[in-house]
Amino acid sequence: MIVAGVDIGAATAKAVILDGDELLAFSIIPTGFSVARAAEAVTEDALAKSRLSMGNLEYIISTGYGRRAVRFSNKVLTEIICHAAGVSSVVPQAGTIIDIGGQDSKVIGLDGNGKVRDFVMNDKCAAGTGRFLEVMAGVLGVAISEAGALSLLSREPCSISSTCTVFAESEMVSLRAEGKSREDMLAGIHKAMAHRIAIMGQSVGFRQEVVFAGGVAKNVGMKKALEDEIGLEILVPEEPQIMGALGAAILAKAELVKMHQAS
Amino acid sequence: MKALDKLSSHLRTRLVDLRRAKEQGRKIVGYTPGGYLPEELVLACGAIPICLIRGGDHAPVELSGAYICRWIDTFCRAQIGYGVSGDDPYYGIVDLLAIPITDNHIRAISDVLDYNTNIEIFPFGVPHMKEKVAFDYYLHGITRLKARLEELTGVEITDSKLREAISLCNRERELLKEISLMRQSQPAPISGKDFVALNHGSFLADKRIMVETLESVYNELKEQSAPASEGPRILLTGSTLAMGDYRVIETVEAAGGAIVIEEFAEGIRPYWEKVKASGDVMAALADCYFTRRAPPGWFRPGKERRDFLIKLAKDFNVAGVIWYQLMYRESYKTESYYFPSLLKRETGLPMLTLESDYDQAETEQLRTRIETFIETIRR
Amino acid sequence: MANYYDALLKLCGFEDDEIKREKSRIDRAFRKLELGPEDMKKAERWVSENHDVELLGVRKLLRAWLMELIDLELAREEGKKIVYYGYPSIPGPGMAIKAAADLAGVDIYCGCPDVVLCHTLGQIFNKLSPVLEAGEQNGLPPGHGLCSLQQIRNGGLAKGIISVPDLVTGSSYYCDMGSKADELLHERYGHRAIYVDGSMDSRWGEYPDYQPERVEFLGAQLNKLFATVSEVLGVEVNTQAWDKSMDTSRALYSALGRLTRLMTADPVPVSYVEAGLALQLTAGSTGRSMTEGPQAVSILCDEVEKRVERGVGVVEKGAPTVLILIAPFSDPSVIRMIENAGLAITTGIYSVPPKKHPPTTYTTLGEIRAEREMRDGYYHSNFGIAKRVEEAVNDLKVDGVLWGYIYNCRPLAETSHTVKKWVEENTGVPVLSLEIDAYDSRNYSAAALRTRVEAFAEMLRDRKASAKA
Repeated sequence: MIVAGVDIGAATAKAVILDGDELLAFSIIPTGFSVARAAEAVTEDALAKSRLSMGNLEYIISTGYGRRAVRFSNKVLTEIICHAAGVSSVVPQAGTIIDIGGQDSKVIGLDGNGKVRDFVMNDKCAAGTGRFLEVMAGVLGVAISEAGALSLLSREPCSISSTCTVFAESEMVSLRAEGKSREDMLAGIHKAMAHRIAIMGQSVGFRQEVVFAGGVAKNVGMKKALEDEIGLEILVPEEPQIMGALGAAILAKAELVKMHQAS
Repeated sequence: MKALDKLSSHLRTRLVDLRRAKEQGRKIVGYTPGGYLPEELVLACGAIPICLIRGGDHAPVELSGAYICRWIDTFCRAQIGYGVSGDDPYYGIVDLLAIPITDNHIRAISDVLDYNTNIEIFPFGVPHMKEKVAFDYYLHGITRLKARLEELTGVEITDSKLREAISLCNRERELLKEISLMRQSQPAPISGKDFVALNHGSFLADKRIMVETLESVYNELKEQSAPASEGPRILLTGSTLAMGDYRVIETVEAAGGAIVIEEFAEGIRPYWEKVKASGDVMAALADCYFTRRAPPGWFRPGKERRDFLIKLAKDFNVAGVIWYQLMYRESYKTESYYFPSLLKRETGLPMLTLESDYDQAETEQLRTRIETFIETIRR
Repeated sequence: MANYYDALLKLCGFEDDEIKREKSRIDRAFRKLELGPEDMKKAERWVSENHDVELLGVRKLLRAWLMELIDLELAREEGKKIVYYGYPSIPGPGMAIKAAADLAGVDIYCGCPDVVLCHTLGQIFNKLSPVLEAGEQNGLPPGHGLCSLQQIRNGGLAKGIISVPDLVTGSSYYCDMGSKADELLHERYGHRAIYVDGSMDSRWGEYPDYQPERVEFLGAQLNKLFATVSEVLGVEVNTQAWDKSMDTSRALYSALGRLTRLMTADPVPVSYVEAGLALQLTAGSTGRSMTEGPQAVSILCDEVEKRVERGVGVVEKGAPTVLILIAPFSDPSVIRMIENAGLAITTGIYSVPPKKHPPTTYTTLGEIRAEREMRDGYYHSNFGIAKRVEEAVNDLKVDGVLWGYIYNCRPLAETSHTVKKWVEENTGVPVLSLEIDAYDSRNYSAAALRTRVEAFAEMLRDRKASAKA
């Protein structure tokens, strides 16, 4: 059974091709301006890597912010449900998923069977999202890919008190003028963000195993800051960014199985 | 001022005192601000009243986000944050949390802490108008509280114990009033910051020590003043002025303004009236605490309070009014829209409206607006 | 000669001869509202997209609301005394005032103008934003979580599309905003305002118990309201008026009860948008709700019953059922989105069958009403609401609760986390705590809410599937 999961986020588009239980290939590209075109491009790319074509796909599920604009998908599911499926396949004992994307963040609580028990999301405010990190790293002239590692070198994290991205940016400019080190400022930023996520997720509850997914999960500084906040160890899958697309593909396979059983 | 320094050091070790008192079997009764909790009831059964009036810090406000959405008054969310944190020294030490339910924001504190913590919550209602049925309802509430306090402490609250406590609290109010009235002179002999420190201190300090402090301050001021600024005289009013939320006061004084009088629903202990000595004691308490005071912004209609503000502005000869409130306190937000024109009509005075969510980021904005306002009224 | 509004009005249940008869009133009302031919075209599209206009009952409900709007617009020029009440208001007093006026032969307009504007300018014309903006500019600015319903009333008055009343009676006694907004308007326009006060001081966990003094206090406030009405309008709101209002409303409430029962069918036979149109009639109207409402709702019930017999519904059979807080008043696309996500909305918490209470021992109108409020729970306390939700969940056996709390309504907003947690703990049923604005969907549009609602629906579907397996 050859299926695909396509996750169109605001910043990046991801596609995963599965053949039964085997992961054939995946692709990650920037979404850019046209969601529909990004969906096609990322799927084609993953197909090329799998040496397959669109015609080989038996079922496609799309998810993410742009899920409705994927013209060729058979079904649409939210990224919450897809992340649960994707993460559970990689970490069967997953109890909580923290997903920080470019423009939103979520905490998803799972029951004992890898299904969603509860969830909470922030998509109204940039302050708990990848965007926040991007803006702050920008103020410091640090590439976002290095920001996390740099933050771990801090010995005395700055206290960032602003709750708003716009104001935090000004706060960073002032701290920089005061001569604070980049490491300390970055650590402060990571700490502030982790604190926000921890509070948001408290109503869902952090239960082990806690898995970190989404683009920001590759940020080692963020992982540590979150661990410090919630007091639990956090697992990061090898490819945290494709968890949504993987889950969509797994659920696509499940749909096919259901269809075959029905007939 | 010497007396203020002594008060500060008393307050610094207050928690130690409270813990010791608790070990000796005394009960600590916390209460939410608003001026509707007759401390006399607590004192009369040997318990210690503590007003939970700390604020200004955003950290507890953030913590509250796990228990309630953001659209509730900042100060109230801060109290929720302190309460649920599990390690707040004040919320951790109270045996009973009495909550006079004034508006929905205070009600949120009551429900959220009741549901999420082990603190015993005792809510009782404060109506929003001064009719007889309202008075009766308030009296009913404090009568219920009295019974609960007797149960809690095992001490009967007799009329004579109450009268003794009333005498002490009346003295505190009287002194605060006398000191405050001194600020009608130009310049005021004590700064707004210091007066507020006194008023705030009264929420945590031992009552006798507080009265002694006030006596000292009063005498000191009669001898020699610690003059406040000669600059533009200001009435500072609004919803909540918490202990620790001094940004506005400090900015005004740094800009050369002189806050000569304050009027807040929460955070400034009402001191204009005394409990009457004669007649039924509980009714006398209700009369002073509920009826004979300027009502807060959630009273409807709010004409009495607005008239009182105008009277204060005139009596204290202010050059301008600064209205400082916290986010989402809708009663104040709405009134801040039409009060300026009323004020202008009655007094010709200008008003500056400020808001805060206890966010550090607001500091520069507040400074700019306050400085501009002070400059405008200076001329 | 054709009128520019013929097509829309016919779509909304008006008969030809009716339009002819009412032409002058319709002309004047639409002129006052600045509704022209373009607005009609847009409205036809909006109504067709969001309302089940193939049902005659739905069209007749839209007609009832439009007729109420016309009455509202023309009340002053038609020489009526005008009483506005607030929403939510203790149901009953508004209708009793109207009944008292009817008995005395005095022609009054008694309604909640903001609610009427929501269901007409909002649900039919999708043109509420200018009114909201006018409210924002005249004392209730955005960014402070101020009640959008009050913004609509304020804006309506500022724009002159609703008239200054003779009397406004306090919005729900449990809301601070309503009274303050009334005061703001009183400062501006000078009309008489009577505030009905209450005290929400029961403990979490106390319901169904309460201090009897709460009844006496609220009761006294209501009696004061009735006395003031007598003074201002010259009509007696007494037991006779009360009984008459009970009589008058019986037909509507009976039809609404029938509709509520039909909504529990599987598949849910009609959209909650239409149920909302019916259930919310008395929230805004004491006039047309009584004269046009019962028949409209009965027609709808007959049509819905046929659907139930045929097994026809708006969501698929076996879809997860949810109990909802309220149907947004002005934007039907939100409920449509929820139903398109595959959730069957069977009941709203305010329209579950009323509880049976032991006979009252109180004798005054005000106290009898106040006691009812305490017993019913919604206006008793937040815990009272939570308990009522728990009871409803257990009685209706719904699969989930969609707790769409109105973010700028403090009494409801403060339940954001507590109701969800408590109901989940005590029923085992998932609750989606969804922040909405029931009157202004600009920031809380269907698109903004979609991901959460869909994820919740997917979660409930999975749970149902697992339970079956």
